[in-house]
Amino acid sequence: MDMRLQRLQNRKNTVVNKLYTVIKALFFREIITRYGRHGIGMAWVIFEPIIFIGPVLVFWLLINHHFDKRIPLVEFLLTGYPPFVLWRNCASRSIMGISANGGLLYHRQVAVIAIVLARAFLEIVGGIGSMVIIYSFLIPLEIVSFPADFLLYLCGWFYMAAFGAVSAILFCAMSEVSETFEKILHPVLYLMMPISGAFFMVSWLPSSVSDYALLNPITNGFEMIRDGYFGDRVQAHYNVGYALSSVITIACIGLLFLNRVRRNIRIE
Amino acid sequence: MKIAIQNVTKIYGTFAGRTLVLDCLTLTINEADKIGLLGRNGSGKSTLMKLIGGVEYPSSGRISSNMTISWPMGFSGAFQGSLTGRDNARFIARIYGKKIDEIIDFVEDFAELGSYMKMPVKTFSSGMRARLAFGLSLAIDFDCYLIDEVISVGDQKFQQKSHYELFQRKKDRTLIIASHDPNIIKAYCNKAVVLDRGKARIFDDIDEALAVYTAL
Repeated sequence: MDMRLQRLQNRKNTVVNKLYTVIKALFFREIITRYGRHGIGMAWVIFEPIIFIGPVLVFWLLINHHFDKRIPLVEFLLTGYPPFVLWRNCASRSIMGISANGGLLYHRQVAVIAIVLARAFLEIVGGIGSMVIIYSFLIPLEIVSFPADFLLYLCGWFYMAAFGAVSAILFCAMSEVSETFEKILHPVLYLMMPISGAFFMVSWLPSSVSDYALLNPITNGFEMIRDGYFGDRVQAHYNVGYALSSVITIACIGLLFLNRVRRNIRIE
Repeated sequence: MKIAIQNVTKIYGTFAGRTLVLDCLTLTINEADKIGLLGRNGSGKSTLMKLIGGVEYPSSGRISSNMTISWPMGFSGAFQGSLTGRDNARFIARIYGKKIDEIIDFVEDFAELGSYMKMPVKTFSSGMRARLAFGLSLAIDFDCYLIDEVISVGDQKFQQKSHYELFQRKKDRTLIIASHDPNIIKAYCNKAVVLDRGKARIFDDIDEALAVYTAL
């Protein structure tokens, strides 16, 4: 019995090792295919999200519309838009991500899940790395403050990263299953921007709507980040249990579909 | 070591309906077999290669093997066109868990692509691509090599080198070669499989197999 358990353990280790090796290789390959070896190369991973976020930030500052008088606009935007961009990039980069990389499947150890996760990790590294850069400029300049509860703030970001990764699995699988889904997914990404909670807090909503808003897992993530960042300055609503179980559910559905896609895929 | 193909069926869903490519095919490939795969266009040679190589999965049935099997070396697939020859080699070395420098050194020496190794693979001719694939898979050292139509690539010197690698240094390895060229099958193989209407027949006598194939 012990022997069998040991063997099973060993097998699990080699599977995990192999997956890790492949994801790592895909990760670096993706950086080179996307940004090349010229100029700042790898640093684009982090600068690309900054270029995305910077103009939006400046735009809102020029309008100078305050969502809530107690919270500075920059801080509010930085706890909403960047995590949203992280999720959206994870999801949108995964759409048709297997057909576009069919050649990779010539190598049997390249699992489809590795392709999807490598791309998602690249977005996560870029998204979180760009935040580190932005905050390390803005905090010393006293434009923004340090998070009230750093650990909770970090958990919020990790939750968004996890939600981004599982969304990538689901979106990838759905887009490969049917062309109709693929067409629907892009509008879904756009629609998520106003309804996700990136630009509002649940406590601002009328009570008849707020319960429904929290059904969206991503909204729980924004609330978590803002709870960690602002602390007592805001009233945050979220359900950790619901948020985590929806991540697990999405992952399971996504993996199930992805497995079906892999079995039936036709590679030139 | 062997590769056991048991009751493998492959059906493709196409716009024109479902196409049955392999129909309950059973075949055993033993260690050090040099198998010539014969069949008319569309008889499923490449499909069978892809299934053995783990690129695609059977619709039903099972393929089990305790050999390490190369990817099917053909004129397409396996490389990323926008990456250089060297970056492709680097990626493949990584996923197969090999030392990057050793693999690149071997490939540069073997494939003789010179400065092309620093150019995107999409600028390669199909012969150059096949040379890169050959070099890489020889460097990685598989138990079984799947060669889809590309054995006759390259100039005479390259062919001699490939021949030496595959039939002298690695003569204990298994080869599966798909080709329409009877001379290649005769020169390289000791067994042949004829694919016809989704079924496979294995022959120990190459001439007999070629006769059956010609009569199709």
